[in-house]
Amino acid sequence: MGTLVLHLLRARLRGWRLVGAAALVLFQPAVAMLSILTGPSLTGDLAAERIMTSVIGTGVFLGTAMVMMSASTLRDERDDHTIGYLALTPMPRWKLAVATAVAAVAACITLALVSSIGIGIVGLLVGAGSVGIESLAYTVPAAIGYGSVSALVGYLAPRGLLVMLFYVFVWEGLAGTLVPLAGNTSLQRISLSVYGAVAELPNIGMEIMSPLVVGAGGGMAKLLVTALVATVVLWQFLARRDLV
Amino acid sequence: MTTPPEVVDHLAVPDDATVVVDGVSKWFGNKVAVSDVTVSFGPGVSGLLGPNGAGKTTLLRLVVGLQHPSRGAISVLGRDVQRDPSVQRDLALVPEAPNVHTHLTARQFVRLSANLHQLDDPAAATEQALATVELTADADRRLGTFSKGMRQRAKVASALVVDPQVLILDEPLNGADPVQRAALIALFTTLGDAGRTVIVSSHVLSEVDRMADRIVAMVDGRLAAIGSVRSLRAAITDRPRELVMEADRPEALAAALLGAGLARGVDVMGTHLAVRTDDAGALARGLPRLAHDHDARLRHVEVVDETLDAIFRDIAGRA
Repeated sequence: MGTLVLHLLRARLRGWRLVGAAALVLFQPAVAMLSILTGPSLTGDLAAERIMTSVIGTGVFLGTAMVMMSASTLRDERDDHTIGYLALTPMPRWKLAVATAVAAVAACITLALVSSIGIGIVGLLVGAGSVGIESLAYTVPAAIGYGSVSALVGYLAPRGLLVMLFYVFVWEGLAGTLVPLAGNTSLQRISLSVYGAVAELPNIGMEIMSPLVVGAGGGMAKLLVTALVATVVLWQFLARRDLV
Repeated sequence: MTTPPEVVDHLAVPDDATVVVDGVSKWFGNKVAVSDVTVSFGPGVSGLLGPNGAGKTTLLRLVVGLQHPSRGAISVLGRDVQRDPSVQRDLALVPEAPNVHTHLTARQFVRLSANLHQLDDPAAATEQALATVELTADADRRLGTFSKGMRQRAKVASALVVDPQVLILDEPLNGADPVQRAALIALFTTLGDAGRTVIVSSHVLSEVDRMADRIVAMVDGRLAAIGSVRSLRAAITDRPRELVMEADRPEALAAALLGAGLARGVDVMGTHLAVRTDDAGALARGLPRLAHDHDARLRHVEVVDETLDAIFRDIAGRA
């Protein structure tokens, strides 16, 4: 299965898709940098809070980048009629589903690392170097959620990327602030609840996260169950439906 | 109830079948792609012949497990391809679509297949497969830079690397130049002679003619004929045909054709003749002598309605 994961991951992390997604996630630290440069001079915890306020306020960029990176993980193989090279092997279909989910999440974690490195560099400039590492508690859970769900939706729907972008912008963004159900099913909010349990969550984070509350264990459990369910559904579709 | 296909000789049902398709149908919404097909394939090269849209590709996808039959069952080497993934160790497909992983080199592409099939020595198997299709020299070039014919050979290498008992090739000669075609045909024939089951689909009879011992012909998702190349050729030759000719002294030639019983009817229009015959083979053999004997120099002879599609539809209609 390692061969399959590496193949799918390698296909993700190349070309303009990688450049575009990396640019999107680096937009967050760039905004944080502008905020530091244009606002009152801050250092230490206050600077870290300012940086994370910018990062969380531009969270839609992280979601968009991760969806872009992962929605076509297996979809591209299906559309290009190359899925047969991966599926017609002695490997059971559940392994193909797991490999797809792992590759999609790993690709998103790569973006999480890029984002956190950018955040860390900005933090180092103002004496808040740990903010980069702490931000991983927000970006990595987001990678698990967005990666696994996008890989499934992308495979099932020919316009899976658009469906996921709708989820990020409308469901999580607009409806999430108005409708409790939408807020409860927001991967961004669940990821913030994990971050809030690890580090000090700025006010904007508390506002965005509502109606969820801070909790690392509960948040991670939700994300892992989501990833598991998405992978099982993908396996069932791979096993029961035509591959081309 | 479906009409059984025209079984034209003893090669119709192999005794040692490795691929068994039993009453299989496949439909997509209202469109029936494969309709109640029962056929088996055994060791040697078998040709799956039919015009575009006949259902060949769908049938092959069903056999390898890329698609599920809407009805019926398929077994390969006695195993259900949908339920038993271990059968994929002995089965390989070269798909028709020219798409490959263009960011990989040929060596990486073949190695990927070797690794996914968990071969004992994937590196050695990769080199062997590349050498078999004569791609060793270009093995480190990306597939995106390959010509269609070279991609075709890379796809064949990716299939051969697992050393399959059953090799299925969907239009494998597409894009190959004459030299590559000859080499691929020789390769498939060698594999067939070695006891492998090789199924080659094509819409070109002359291609299949050069490598297949046995032909399964499909039209409109149904089996039209099963048998040896020779018997299928005979079936095609025996069908009623219409030919258009241009000749000096057309009236004399028309009378001679009718008098010799080589034509069922002839229409003369200026120097052109429209000839209808029930035995194209006899007409082809007798026409030059008749033309010579009646001093009717032939300027042009053309068979009307001679597409493979028309031929198979005619065979299917008679079955």
